[in-house]
Amino acid sequence: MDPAISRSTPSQTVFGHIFNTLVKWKDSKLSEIIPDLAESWTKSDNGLKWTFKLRQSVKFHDGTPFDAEAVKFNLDRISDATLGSPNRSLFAGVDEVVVIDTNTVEIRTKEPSPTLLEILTEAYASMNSPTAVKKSGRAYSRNPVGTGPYVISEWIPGQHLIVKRNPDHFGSPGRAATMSFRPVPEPAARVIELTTGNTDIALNIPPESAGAVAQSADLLVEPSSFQIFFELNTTKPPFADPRVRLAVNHAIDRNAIIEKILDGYGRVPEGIFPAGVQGRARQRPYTYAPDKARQMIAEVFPGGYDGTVVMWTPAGRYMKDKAIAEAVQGYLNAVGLKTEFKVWEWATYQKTLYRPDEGKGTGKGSNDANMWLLGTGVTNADWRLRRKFFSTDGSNLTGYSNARVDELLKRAAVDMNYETRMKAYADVQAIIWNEAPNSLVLFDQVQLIGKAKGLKDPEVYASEILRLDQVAKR
Amino acid sequence: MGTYVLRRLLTLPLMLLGVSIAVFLVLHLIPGDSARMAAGPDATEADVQQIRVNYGLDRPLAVQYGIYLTKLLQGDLGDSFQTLAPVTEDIARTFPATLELTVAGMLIALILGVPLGVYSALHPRGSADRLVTSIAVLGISMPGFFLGLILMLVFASVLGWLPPTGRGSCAHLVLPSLTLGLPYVATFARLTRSNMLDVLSEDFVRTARAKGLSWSQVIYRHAMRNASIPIVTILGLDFGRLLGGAVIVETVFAWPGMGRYMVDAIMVRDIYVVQGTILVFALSVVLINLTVDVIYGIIDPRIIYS
Repeated sequence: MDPAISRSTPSQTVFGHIFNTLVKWKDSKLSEIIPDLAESWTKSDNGLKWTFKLRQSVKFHDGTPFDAEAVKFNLDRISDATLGSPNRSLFAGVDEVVVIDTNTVEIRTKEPSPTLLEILTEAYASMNSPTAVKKSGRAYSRNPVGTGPYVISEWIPGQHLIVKRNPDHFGSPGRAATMSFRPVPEPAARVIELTTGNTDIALNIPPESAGAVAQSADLLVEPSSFQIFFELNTTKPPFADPRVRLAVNHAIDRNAIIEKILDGYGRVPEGIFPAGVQGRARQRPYTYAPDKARQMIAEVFPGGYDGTVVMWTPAGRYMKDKAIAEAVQGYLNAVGLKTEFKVWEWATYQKTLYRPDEGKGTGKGSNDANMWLLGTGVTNADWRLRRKFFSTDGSNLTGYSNARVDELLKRAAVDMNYETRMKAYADVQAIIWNEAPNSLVLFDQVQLIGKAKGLKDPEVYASEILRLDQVAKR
Repeated sequence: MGTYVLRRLLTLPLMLLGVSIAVFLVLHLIPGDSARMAAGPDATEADVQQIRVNYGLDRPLAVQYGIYLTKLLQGDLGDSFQTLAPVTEDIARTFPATLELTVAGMLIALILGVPLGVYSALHPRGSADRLVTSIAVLGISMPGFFLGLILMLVFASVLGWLPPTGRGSCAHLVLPSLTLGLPYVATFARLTRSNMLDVLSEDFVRTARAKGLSWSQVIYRHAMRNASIPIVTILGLDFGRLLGGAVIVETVFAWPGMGRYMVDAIMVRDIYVVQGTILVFALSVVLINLTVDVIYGIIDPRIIYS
């Protein structure tokens, strides 16, 4: 429960209620950034200096005043290597944080950093009480202290976390006087908790229980930024040629997969960015055209591809992952590709995919396969694209390398104009979708949320984070 | 007896050392990368590498173990890679919850199982006997999570008598401990039945009857005592199995126990958490077996430890 470190979505939902960030997205559309703890901000003409005017007389829950020193403390902390934040790289562009006066702080960057504000909206950039961090030391993750509309009143890890309304909060006060968050790992148990009225909101309703939930409660079907795909090894046949990568995208019937395996709870992708991802440029969905796919493969391999396509999938990590991978295998066989199938346990899978294997194909353990199933839910456009598509990025597992994509991403990374930057991301999405994909896109997830009847809707972000402070019983 | 217990206790540290080395090696030999799992699939390689260095995962295995052992001797089980929280603290919180569940499950198995076994021994091939056999088949064939969900469906959802999941009141304890204990009812009943039948055919039972004792006195004072040695043995063995069974029950009922804590840690290769929890599990199994040995001596004066 240390926002600088924790990356679990349920934790981030809690963070949103007990912490604030300097700036935040206005709503779940991610199109406008508005003040939170910072009242206003300006940037220098060269884009290297950002000056933030802070909200005055804000106090952390432990009474520590929130000021420029606190901002510096928090931003320095996440950049500190010894803390070991999994998202330290996001802040790598920050050169120095300078305290100008009590309520003014300046962030200097090494390069013009158009993504700085976006990064400051992330839960990782939450403002923690410096006093509490220093006092608790390594136990801070057990005693988090923020400025948010709610204060932790009791927390027994694994059992429940209860928050109560913070009467001194600067913004609009929370509607509910207290809220209780409980981890319930078994999906069927979550459904029973909801239908028996023991809980007001239950997350991650399994598709097969959707009907039962809808009978006694409200079922919310919300978009998710999570997309599931098979990444394709672009460094060796058959997927070295982009035509074959496009071909397999036409070989599968996504509607059938969604209807039959996901009980209808999934969406046919319209581009590599699902709804809720920043800078989304919608594309025309790939049609299901096995004949066309066979033809496209024949253009590259006139006698048919005589090798075997090695497919990897984790089991139990993503919704129905193995069943979906098996369906895809069937579709690929139907267009004449021979396949070999391997199911992995998640930790082993991760280790294998990312294992350095320099000088060979993808340069990673992923080189041993032709395609592997993964998903991502990152909502930040720069982050989402750079990791997977920039040719030299350490997280690029497919060996993807496209000069135009690299050029556009490089330009966008320092482009201080929001419109032209988003345009560059849109161009990248179009190139990838229409000319040179790196993956066989499967489906966009939806969030199934059960909610007691009569409860006002929570604000649901595509990142699967919820805002509940304005939820009230009608 | 005193020296025997002392001697057994003195071998404990050696055994724990062995367990810790074995677990340490296994955790490092199975594939998976703790740093990658802590950083998550969306982290950059640089961040993962930094975490690897911070946790000392880049150092030789022997050095890593040495550091771990030094801390262990000071009572520090290390920190979780996932939450950064001290493992010792987490175990101090989760172990009592698991113990509570296991003891309750064990009591249910004993309180229902032993009388049922005695009754069916006294009325072989009667209706109680058949009931025990049916329960035994059900108990063995029905997986714990399934039984748990069925109980939850009936008692929490349909009847609304009990809370479905969570921990707090006594009501919360009923369903998980039933799920854990019910499959063992049959084990104890069948064991008690066969031992009672054996004992009841012994000469001393006839003698006891002949000298004028009532049936209930014969059964409780003479037969039960002799029949209980194997029951205590199985009790000790099953206690370990119940601790293991708690893993599934804890997940189904969102019970904040050590089993769930351990399994979650295995999935993400949270090494120190797995180490710590296995050590505590091993320690409790050893202590229970020691207790069982001591109980033997009390029940049966013929057993003498030297």
